[in-house]
Amino acid sequence: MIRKSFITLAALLVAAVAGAQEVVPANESFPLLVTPRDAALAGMAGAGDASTSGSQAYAAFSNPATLPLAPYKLSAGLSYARWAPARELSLSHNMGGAVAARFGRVGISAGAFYQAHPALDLGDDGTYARKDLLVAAGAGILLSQHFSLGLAVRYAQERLMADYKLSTVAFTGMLQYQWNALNVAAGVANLGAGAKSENGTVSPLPASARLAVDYALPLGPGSLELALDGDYYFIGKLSVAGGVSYDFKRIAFLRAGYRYAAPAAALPSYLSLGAGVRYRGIHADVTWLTASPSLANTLLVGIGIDL
Amino acid sequence: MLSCTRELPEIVSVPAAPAGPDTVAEMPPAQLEALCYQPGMALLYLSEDVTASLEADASPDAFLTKASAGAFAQVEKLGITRMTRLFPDAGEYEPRTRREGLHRWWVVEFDKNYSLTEAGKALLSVEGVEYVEKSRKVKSTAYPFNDPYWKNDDMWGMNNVDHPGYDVNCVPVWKQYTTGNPNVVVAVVDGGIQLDHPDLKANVAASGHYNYVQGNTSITQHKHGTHVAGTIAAVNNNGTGVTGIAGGDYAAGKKGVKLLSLQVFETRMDGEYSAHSFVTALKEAADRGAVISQNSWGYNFDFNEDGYISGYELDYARQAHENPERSFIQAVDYFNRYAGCDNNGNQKPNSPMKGGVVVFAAGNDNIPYGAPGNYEGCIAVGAIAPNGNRTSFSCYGDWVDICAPGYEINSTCTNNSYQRYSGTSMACPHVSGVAALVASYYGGTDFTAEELRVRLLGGAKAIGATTGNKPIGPLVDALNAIQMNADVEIPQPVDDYTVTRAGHNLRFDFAVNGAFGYTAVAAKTPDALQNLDYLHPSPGVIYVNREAPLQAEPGTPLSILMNGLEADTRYYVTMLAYNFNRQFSDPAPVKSEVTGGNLPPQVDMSAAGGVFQFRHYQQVDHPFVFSDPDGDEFTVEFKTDGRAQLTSTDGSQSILHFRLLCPAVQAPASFQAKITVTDELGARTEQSFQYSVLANVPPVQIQDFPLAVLREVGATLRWELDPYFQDEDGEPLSYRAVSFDTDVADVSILDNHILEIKAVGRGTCKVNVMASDSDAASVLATIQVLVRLSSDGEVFLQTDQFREEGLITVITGEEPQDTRVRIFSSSGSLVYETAGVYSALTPLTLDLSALSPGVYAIEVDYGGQTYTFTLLKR
Repeated sequence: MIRKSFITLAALLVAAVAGAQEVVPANESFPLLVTPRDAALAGMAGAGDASTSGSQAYAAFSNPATLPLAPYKLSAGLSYARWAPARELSLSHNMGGAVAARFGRVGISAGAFYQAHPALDLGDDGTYARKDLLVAAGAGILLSQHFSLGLAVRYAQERLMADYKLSTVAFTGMLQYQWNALNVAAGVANLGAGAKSENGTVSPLPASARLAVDYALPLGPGSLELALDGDYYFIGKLSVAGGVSYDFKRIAFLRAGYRYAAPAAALPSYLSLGAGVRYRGIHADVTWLTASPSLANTLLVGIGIDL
Repeated sequence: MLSCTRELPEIVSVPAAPAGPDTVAEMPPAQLEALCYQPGMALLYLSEDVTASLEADASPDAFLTKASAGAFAQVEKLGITRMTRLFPDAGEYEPRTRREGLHRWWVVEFDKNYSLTEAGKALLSVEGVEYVEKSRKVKSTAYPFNDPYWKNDDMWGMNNVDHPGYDVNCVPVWKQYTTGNPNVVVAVVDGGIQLDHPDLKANVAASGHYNYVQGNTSITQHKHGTHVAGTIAAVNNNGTGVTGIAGGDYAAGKKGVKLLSLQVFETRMDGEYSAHSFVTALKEAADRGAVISQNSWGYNFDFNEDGYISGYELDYARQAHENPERSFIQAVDYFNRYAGCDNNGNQKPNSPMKGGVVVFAAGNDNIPYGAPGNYEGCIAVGAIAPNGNRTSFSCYGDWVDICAPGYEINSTCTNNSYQRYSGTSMACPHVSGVAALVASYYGGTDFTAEELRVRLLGGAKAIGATTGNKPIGPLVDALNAIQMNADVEIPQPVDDYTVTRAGHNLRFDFAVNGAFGYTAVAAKTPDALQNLDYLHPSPGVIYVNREAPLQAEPGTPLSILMNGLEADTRYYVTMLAYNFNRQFSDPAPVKSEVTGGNLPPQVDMSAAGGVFQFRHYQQVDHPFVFSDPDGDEFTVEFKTDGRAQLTSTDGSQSILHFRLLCPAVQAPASFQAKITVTDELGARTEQSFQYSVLANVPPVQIQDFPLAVLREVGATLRWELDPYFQDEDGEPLSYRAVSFDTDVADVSILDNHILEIKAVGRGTCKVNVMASDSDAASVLATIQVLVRLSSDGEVFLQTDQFREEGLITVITGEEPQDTRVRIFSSSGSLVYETAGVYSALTPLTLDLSALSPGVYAIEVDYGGQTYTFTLLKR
């Protein structure tokens, strides 16, 4: 009888399976490392990492190898982005600034961004307004007439709850080749330790191997600049961004671009349209992003000065 | 345990008992338990099934060891060493023993270091154990003197010279009526009688003695038992020692009543020993031929051995007084009913009395309690001093039925000696002796234990032996018991009667004429009916007596059936009427009748409806009715190759119940059964039949359960389960239920057939319900439970497993619909997208454990709407 009861109980505890279960694949952590910071470059869908035609204030966030090739000795900029407003979750107000200086064969850059998110109801975790921080510093050196090398380090922090934050340090190294109006840059971006979750899973940073090409040619009273950037993310995803910028006598600028990103990439696909004005070294730029369910109506504005 | 043998001065100088627990420190329960009860032993009352199993497993010596204790293996921790029947196989009297259920009492012996209370709980948990009793320690109620001095004729209990009137008044009975009759057997349940004591041996039964301490027939002499026996039946008029109340007249060649020693105390070199069970001796006294049971023992409550019963000791005494043990009650009732009788409760031909009388000492603790003798089935005896006052030690109360001399009583003792002892132990055999004397005089085919009891108690005289509010009843009086209602008139003869044949028996029909009772007499010759001594029937003359109903008015028809006659034989018959004192009327005219042939007994099995196919779970109980057209006694024999029996529920042989034993352990099969009913003349009826135990059919689920939806935490839902399951056998089903997520729902079974689901938290889970029949064959059903709050939308996330396991379940509406789920990271990236047809019954569960820490948005498109949820992945 005891044995029978045991069998009965065992049978009682066999659960029938109903419904479906799917496993969501791993993704990259710290997406703020790949969020555009420069409103001008964002107008070309983030392409133009190899461009040396404009301000290099934000080079520590993109390609530090451009720093010794910058056309200005000193550049500074402030930027604000109303990022991804289509969803309350992804909406953030990204505010920051950067500065770059060139000293002979060497150029340096540094900047910081603060991202404020609206308060979210996180269920059992309560309500919290997330806060992110990104600080970057970079330096570049001209190796020869045509080559330069740049290195950058970034510190990223995501404070997800009052008592729960993540942080990491990422490194970027780029090699730049310049021949007349052609710029080609290649390197690796965002190498570093990923985020470790409570269950022990380590999610990688959005690290990638990057190749960027930029070419400018005269067109009428102004010039036309074409840029193509490609990233192969080590998690196995590809993104390609293409952009074009036309300037009228270096006073007015129109920009457009499209970024393709593999599904679930840290930075999704989007279409960009941008414009800018420049007068006596002072410039202002605005970019509007769309075409992604999240990034629709994202707006970036920036002002800067180049001396 | 025999423990009190104090000197008299200690008794008479006993100060008032110090009262209250402030002067008596209460002992720990375990220590009290050890003082009250015998360690390592308990009495069990078992079900018929378990009893049958144990008996089947018992060794030839009728005991079980642990290895063969069957169902008791589950309490192996007790270290059971032996199990025996409390009332062993009674041989000739086994049928009535079983009918009274006494075979279901078992003694279990186990590790003495085990707590009796814990052991009791463990034993009671065994299926089939109906009661558990501890086995009490017992002490005698004697107060013997060590003073060896005694004088001839110093027998004040029988002849009180200094205080006339305060004795048992047996001398006139010796002179006028009787000095005892060897046909009357008195069982002395006590220490062993010195069987060869010169003042006893002539009145000692030739056989039947038993030593319950040793478990054999070797009686060892014991002071207390020998002393008690001498008061009852020391040989009178033999020029030696003392006299006994029913000790006969040696010089006149008349023997006294017979003493039967049932030894429960024993003195050894290293101390006093007592039997494990006194109730066995009580019961077996009837089987060994006694009609009077003499008991000068009681329970021990003087735990601290200070000579007083006070404080918590008094509480224990009261509890025992108010709660007699079942085994004791059954043993006493058995003796009262079956002493002097055959298995069917009919008086045996040579028995002096139908039924028995159990006489008990009230106890010497000077308290108002007296377990176990206070049980109403016993006659409790208090003790008086020679001046007629209650002795200082006698227990008292309205429950004390009668009193008798119990102070400095001179009687036989061991090693051919004599001693004077005091105590209710000494008063008790005075009453037993008087009872034996009355039974000696009136004993016969019509004499009953009830009448003896009426004579003893009704004939006792009030002597004011009470002291204040401490009554001990009237003083036993042998002469009054004999002459009770002596002034009633001799009844008139039976005016008219008819005698008719009933098979080979004769039936007498007559009208009540106000007499106490009536006697039908038959003989084969008319001469045998002349000059009859109706109290002492002659050989060849058959007597049958019947008392008239108490309320019977003159003229009320009454009949007497005379059994045991020879078939086809002419009998001459007459009838007489008698009064309470067995004074007979003149005989009615002699008639004659020829008996017919003997008819066999009959059996009626119609209650079974002719169907003997049983589901193996069934508790089969078919009453079979047995009868004999002649009114003869009959025996029933039942044989089967299966496990079944015929059982009486009321002690009657006329209706026996056919029952399956342990049907659940029987493989499906057909069995043969045969009933043989044989009357006392050998005529028999045989009835064979076949019965089948059918195979068990497991239960099945006959309809699906709907989705169980609860809309508030704490809400409950109750479903009657029987409509969802069916058992072809018709067995009652038992149910069990398990919730697979008790964070969502708790389940329980109410009243064994109602499923209650209680919402604990939002989400879904499965509940398994198992329906089982009595053979544990079962069927499993699954119920989907949905708990959603009224504040929830059509869709919500179940996240109770998210933090631990990374699982979320998307609970949509109850209807299956196209569903799309998308997960966005805080950067706006679409991390994951999936689609399918889902419902609350078939929800989608996503394993997000691989996602990087961060905040994510879950968007669910269902039913034309989009529902968005935010999750923090740590």
